[in-house]
Amino acid sequence: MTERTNGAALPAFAPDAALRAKLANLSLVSQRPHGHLHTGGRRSRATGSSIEFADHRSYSPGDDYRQIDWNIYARTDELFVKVRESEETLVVHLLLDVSGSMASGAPTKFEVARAVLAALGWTALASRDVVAGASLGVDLGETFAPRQGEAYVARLFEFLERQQPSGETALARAVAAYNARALQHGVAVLASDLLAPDAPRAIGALAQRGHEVTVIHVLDEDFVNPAFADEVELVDAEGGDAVEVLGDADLLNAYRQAVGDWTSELQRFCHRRHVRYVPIRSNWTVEDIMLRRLREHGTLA
Amino acid sequence: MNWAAPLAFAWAGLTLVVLVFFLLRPRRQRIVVASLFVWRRTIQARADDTWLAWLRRHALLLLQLLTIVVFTLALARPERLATVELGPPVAVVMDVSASMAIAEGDGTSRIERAREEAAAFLNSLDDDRRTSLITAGAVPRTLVAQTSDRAEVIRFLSGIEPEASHGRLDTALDMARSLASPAAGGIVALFTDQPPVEASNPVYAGVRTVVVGEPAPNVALDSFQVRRRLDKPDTVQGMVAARNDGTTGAAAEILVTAGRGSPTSRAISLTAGERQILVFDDLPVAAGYQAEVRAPDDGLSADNLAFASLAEPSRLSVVVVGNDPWPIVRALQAVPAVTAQAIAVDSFDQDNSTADFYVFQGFAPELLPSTSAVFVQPPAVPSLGLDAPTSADTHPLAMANSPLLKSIDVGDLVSGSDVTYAPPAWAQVDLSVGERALLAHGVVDGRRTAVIGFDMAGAGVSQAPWFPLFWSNVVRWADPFAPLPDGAHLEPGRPVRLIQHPRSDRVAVTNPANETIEFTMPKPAVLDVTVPGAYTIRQFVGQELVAQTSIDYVPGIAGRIGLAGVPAGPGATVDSAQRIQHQVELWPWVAGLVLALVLVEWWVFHRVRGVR
Repeated sequence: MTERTNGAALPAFAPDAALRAKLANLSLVSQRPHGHLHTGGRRSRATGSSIEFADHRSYSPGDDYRQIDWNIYARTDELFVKVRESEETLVVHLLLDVSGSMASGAPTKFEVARAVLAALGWTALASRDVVAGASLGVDLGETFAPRQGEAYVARLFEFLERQQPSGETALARAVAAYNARALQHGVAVLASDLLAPDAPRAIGALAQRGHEVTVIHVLDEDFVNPAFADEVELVDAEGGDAVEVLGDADLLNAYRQAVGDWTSELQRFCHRRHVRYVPIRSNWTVEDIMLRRLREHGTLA
Repeated sequence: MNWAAPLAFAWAGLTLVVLVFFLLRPRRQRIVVASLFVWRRTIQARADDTWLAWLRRHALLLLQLLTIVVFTLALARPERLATVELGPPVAVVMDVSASMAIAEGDGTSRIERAREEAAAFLNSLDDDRRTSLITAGAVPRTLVAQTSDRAEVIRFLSGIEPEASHGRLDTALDMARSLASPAAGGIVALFTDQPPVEASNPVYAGVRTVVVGEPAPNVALDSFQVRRRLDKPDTVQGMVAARNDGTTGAAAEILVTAGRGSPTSRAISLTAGERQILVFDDLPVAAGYQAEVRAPDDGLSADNLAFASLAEPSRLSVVVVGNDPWPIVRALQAVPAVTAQAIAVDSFDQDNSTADFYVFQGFAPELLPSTSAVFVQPPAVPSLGLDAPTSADTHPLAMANSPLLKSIDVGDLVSGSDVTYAPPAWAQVDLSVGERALLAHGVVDGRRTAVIGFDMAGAGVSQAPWFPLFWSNVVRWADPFAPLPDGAHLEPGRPVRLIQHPRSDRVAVTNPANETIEFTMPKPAVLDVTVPGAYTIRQFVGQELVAQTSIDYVPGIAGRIGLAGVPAGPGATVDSAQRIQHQVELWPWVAGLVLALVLVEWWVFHRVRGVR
């Protein structure tokens, strides 16, 4: 059965109704203000002109006369102005790695990453956050301009549906190009297998831009725990390079150890830069990732 | 390290096959992975042991090649010469006389019991003893000589069967003593159904005798011969030798039948081990004769019949090679039972000549015959140690007891154009002129040889009255079928020519007197067998022993001693220091290594594939 949103059919990777119902009570967590005091869906630590009353304070010259609480003046004969909470608009940047390496796994890492970003996008738009996005390959790919409101869910899904994994990876260059667009900083979610030597540099660039970064590190089971014997030729899915190896137990154990070391390095790197590092497997369900893993790591609340 | 089968190295060519298969193997599987990023880090971490990684990647190929190499080594049968200390030797003498075929009450024959007893005796011995196995039949034979391979002896033992004749235990025991002298700590064990009649008989001195079979008489015909009577040529005289090989005395009746006529019988009584000869005179002339012995309790009837026929005596074939042979030929033709033939020097074809002995007149062939040879005024013959002849200038002096001058008055000898020679070491001088010999004889390389300096063609010699008698003496002495005058009780036959091992360049023969004679190949080696007993013959390439065997000399059948292809295997080379040198085959160890390699391959193969 094909679901429809605003009259458009939902793609297969989009969250279904059950998941959406569970995600309705969740929103992306932003632990610090990002200074975008527009009409948004979330309270800001800054005060503003919204209708939500926060407190009173003594009148100071220059304050808006319209904010003077005349009732208190009538009772106390002193001027107080009403202090109202400001409502902040959070910009959520959804960054999807579309390099060729994302096509491996069953299901592919790309499918899982795209479904997770779709669910996050739906959650953000439903929370009246601004959602922007881009696909990252050998350079900055297609971008999704900042949009707010559920009306743009279908546009977001269409954007994600157009993405396909191919080509090589140059995450740092792609991120640098994305940063150069001078979009407002906010929460950046990067879904990638990080199989590129410059992946840490890309993460660092996002954090340096002022984003609250969440890295969803997608790996597939065959990558983490390969199983083959004999002399085989391993071919890189992206560059086509090949190496010959003998898949004996010693080599495979050494490889697994290397994978563990590599992910630990990434995790430590992210921790030093206050980046949320969320390792997932391509064979996990989107519901599990959204409702458990991302909540455990503080990305959703 | 030697290789018993070096041609097997050709199997190493299999390595090429394996390499070809390796090169033609299916291409390796291609697996597309998300990234080589981590793989390169892993490989880089192992880059320090690149050669080890290469070995690991090609472990199966290397194991296969190694397996083939080792397998080839195993097929080439490596062996090394080992020296081990040995215990005193043992000689087992098996009586294979006809009586050993007698079946006892339980149905087993005496030879079967003897085999069982001998096998049990051999199995009770220490492993370090060299063992010989001798059969005591009409012609004693050494089946196995001084081997440390006990299984080989048992195998030969199991194949021993009785013969249809009596056994010559005395000769067999002599041979056994020469192989395992009891005086030197050796053991001679005799398995027979004939217990020693006299314990003090020196034949049985030091011999462990195991008697098999129940006491019973065994009367047998030992020999049966017929001949015309010299005084009455129209009648025939028959001689029957009867023998009791049993352990109890027996009365017997001997019957001799001429043709289809009526038998003539005699009654005799034989004690255990006794032998009697009966003469039957005045038998009629017939085509054939039969002798039979009948005894009531005879244990074996298979040896009770014998047959004989009148036969003309064999004639000795003598070839005289020379340019004026007829005086000698005429003298030889006067000798009874001699056929003489004259051949000119130019017509002499030694390869196609089969004479019993030769007379060479003024000539010596390049290759000396293997039988008796008489040289009349020969030129210098280096192989015989004869120098160039010189004229005799004084009257010769005869030596006493010369067999060639028997019944000849030395004073009748006429010295005309005679020549003399420096006497070789092997020669016994019959007539000497000063320090030189006018007539000499001796045995060289097993060949009876005489050198005559007389001018046989001269009228003074050929017409002398002693001339036919002289040649009769020569024939009598040079007859290769006659015993050598050394007092040996064996009768040597033709000289024994040793057959060379294909690789050997030297042969060493150790006779029963422990004397070693060496021959250098390719000079024909003719063994002088005058002493009965065991001869050990070893063949060498340089100092390397390539073949050896031990034989006992048996007259009449050992004209050739085949050494070619006799490997120095289980049979041992024995020296007086009680050590044995034998080739130890190493291929079982190498084959075990092959098996281990195959197991390792199997383990590696499954270990690699177990990852899957």
